[in-house]
Amino acid sequence: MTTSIRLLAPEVADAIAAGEVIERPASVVKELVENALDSNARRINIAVRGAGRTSIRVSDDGSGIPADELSIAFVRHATSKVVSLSDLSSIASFGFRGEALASIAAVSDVECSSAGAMIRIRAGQMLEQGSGALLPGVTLEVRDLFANVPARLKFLKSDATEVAAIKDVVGAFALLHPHVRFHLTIDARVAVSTTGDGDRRRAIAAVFGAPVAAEVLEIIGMPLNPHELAGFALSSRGPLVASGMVSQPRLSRGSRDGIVLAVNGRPISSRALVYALEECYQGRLERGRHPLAVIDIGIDPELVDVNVHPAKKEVRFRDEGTVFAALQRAVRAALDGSEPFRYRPVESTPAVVAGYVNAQLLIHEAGVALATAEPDAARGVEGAVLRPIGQVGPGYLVAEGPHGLVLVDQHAAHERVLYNRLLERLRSGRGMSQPLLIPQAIDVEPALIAAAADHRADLAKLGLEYEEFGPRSLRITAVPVEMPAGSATAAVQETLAALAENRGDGALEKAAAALACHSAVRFGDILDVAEQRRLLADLESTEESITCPHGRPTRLLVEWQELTRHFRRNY
Amino acid sequence: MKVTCRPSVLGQALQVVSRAISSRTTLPILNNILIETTSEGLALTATNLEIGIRKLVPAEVAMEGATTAPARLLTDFVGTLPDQDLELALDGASQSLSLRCARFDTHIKCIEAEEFPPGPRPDEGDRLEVALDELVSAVEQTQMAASTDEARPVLTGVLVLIQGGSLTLAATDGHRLAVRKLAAAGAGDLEASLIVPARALAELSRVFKGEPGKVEVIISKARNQVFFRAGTSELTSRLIDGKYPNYAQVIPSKSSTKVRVSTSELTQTVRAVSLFARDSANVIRVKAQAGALILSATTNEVGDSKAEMAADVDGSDIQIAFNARYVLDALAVIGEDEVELLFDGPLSPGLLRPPGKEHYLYVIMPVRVAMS
Ligand SMILES: Nc1ncnc2c1ncn2[C@@H]1O[C@H](COP(=O)(O)OP(=O)(O)OP(=O)(O)O)[C@@H](O)[C@H]1O
Ligand SMILES: [Mg+2]
Repeated sequence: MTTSIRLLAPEVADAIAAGEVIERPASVVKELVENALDSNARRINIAVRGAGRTSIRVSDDGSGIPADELSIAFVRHATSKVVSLSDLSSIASFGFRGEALASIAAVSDVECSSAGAMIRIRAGQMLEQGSGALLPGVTLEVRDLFANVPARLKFLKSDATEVAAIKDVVGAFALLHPHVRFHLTIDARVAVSTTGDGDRRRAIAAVFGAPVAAEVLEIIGMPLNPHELAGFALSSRGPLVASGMVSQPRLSRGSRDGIVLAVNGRPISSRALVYALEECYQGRLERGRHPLAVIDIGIDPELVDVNVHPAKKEVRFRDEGTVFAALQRAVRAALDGSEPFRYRPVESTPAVVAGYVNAQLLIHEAGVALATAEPDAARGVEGAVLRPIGQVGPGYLVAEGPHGLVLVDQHAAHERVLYNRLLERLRSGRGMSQPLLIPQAIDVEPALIAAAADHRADLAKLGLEYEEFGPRSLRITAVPVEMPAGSATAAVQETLAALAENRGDGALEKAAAALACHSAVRFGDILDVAEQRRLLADLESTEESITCPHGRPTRLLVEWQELTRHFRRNY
Repeated sequence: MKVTCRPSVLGQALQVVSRAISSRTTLPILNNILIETTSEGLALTATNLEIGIRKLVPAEVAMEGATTAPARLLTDFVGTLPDQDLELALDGASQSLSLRCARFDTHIKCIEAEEFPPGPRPDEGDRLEVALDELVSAVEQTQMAASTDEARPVLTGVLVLIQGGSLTLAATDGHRLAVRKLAAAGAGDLEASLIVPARALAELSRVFKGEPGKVEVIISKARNQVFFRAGTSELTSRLIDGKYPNYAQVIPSKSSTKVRVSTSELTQTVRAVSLFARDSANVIRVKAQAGALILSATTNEVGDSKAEMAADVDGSDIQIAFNARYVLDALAVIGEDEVELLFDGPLSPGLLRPPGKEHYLYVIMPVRVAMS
């Protein structure tokens, strides 16, 4: 059979184009929520049935569509948001293509009413047009999604997966727009419900659960500093600001799905930004753990291009480096307010809360309890005095602090103290070293010899000095003063391995971490009272003291109120 | 086997012998103590294959025999008994050891004595004799300078040099060095160089506590074991194989500053000042000038401390820094009212010794500080 070339029938062409925009039920939800937000809605209700294949109904209280424009809204490339080509370079609304409604209508049965008018379109064909309820905003229901595109239908995942994707979409918007009330039901069950009162922490409680909300730190929008602004010389509008909330180290997940990043309120996926965020947690989270975060980067729309991906998932910044720097500074500043790990007994967990606790969610304390109060930001860790009480088990120190009983992992704590001290020496260049009475030859692999040669000067600042001694051997002539005699072999090998593995950024930090690890008291070493007091005092005055350089907690706080509650002293 | 003895005496011996048992052994038999009858009573032996301890306990032997009993259980149990006659009787077939004392009638499951590793016996080999208290103090003065670095096994031992009728003990961890000389009898023209694990020597004072004045030191023919024997107690140790660094070459041969101070005053001062040596990792600065020794340390957050003490200072002024711990380690064992410090510039090793005596010296490498 021979086929000749001809134009596609309009409904076929529309269905193909729709495929770009509408991949799955969650895409419908995303487009409709965006339209509602663009219309300045304050309340958005979303009702989903049959995992979105049966029905998706979205209603808002926004500006609505004038009755006489209702049918135009469903025409491809019909939009009220972009007029000229130049508008495209500074898009401030979610929509700009005029494609979403047309695409949805091409692959489903849509009924839309607004301003007293109603229209019904199925598979791109107008079925009905008439009068509808006179309500504010727009109500739109999408039924039988992909009924006319069996190929699409086949590629949908399980109901649970599609529902999860819908929840993610609504959750992300709800987190990013706390001023808007979101209400999502799945088969008549409430899945997400926010108050819309503008309180971001409450929005987080609604989406991630109260325990998470109690553990996040607010990012105070930090404008750029002057030298960074230089890159934005073209911009006439306000500076770039990152705002939102990030989890403190004692809260983390085994996956990245608690990370919501956005640009001007639009959720985006950006590996680079996620990396920038996670870099701030280096030394605060263990390997394999990820933070929870809701971060919105407010930036002049001219400095970001959202028109690079059909579903607008990706964006391109004109100056990515500056955006990263701003994000990192804001996140690091927020993390400085991190609090120590707290002990929360399991039995105080109300049953309702347990339902929130996703298996991936980890709050480091045993069990999670509903936070009764917002974290007390004023409660600084610094300056508090820890009174040593003794050493228990193989290597924990017990101390009394102003807020309760404090348990300290002696190795992790000392590791943090030494690590910070070593970094300080690296920065200041004012080293201190213990030259060896008897220099020590150490066998190392040739690859490490190379690392040793490359980093001689930096390691000398850390107190480690050596000379080459044959092709597979180094002669150590000095070690950091803190390093106990007898730790040099393992320490040097691990330090050089860290340098060889981590070329570039962070390599010296890793090296310092290796040296700190081998210089710290070991778990199991016996410490006398003077040594305990000294370690506790050092821990108090060091920065980022909540975790060791590898991200493990250094201490656990059992709060007085926890003890009061446990011993029923509050009645 | 059937013997009668006093629980107090047996209990003490069990405790000492148990010191040779390693908590991490993978051989179950090494958790047991070998119990054998001898002409004088009971012989108790335990080993972790590196060190072995053997003690004789006076007992009335009614029937000869031997077995091995779990050390922890036996030691703990005997420790709780009233000090009345304790009768130990072994049922050879079931290897069940019955212990009868006062109102207790207890049975402990044992393992056959044949299973116990046959330890080397100190019957032949070169031997010499030293005073027990001298040996104990020599060990105390050196053993703390030995290394714990398993990657350098040689330094985890104390070098025992037998030469010219005397014994020299030396230990170093690469940061400091301690050397002690003591007289030996009967060494003749024996020359030997042994590396004894510091861990083994650390047991000496406990094993020989209460034993009479002399220790016999016997070196196995193969030069791989050393035996110490005094009275009815015995400590054996495997020797570390390898070449000990030439420690003599790091002992300073000259000095430009000589200081003489009271040991107790220096100890107190170092301890007090080092409390302020926090962010500088225990580093104290020492300044010697005419008539005085000045110690100081600084921590940004804590403040600083400075203390001056009267001292005989001979030679040029000097400023030098040390890890306080290394200094304190030496002062704690020097055993003299006064101590002599010898320096030769801020970067060369410093030397500590009892004034006017040659039997002990301690060398410390100074810390290099960016002087502000
Ligand atoms: N909920 C709503 N409230 C008010 N107006 C709406 C609503 N939904 C759609 N519209 C109007 O319909 C037009 C078409 O919407 P559609 O989503 O198809 O395109 P768009 O939002 O302009 O662009 P994009 O395809 O990028 O989403 C919009 O420009 C807007 O004027
Ligand atoms: Mg739209």
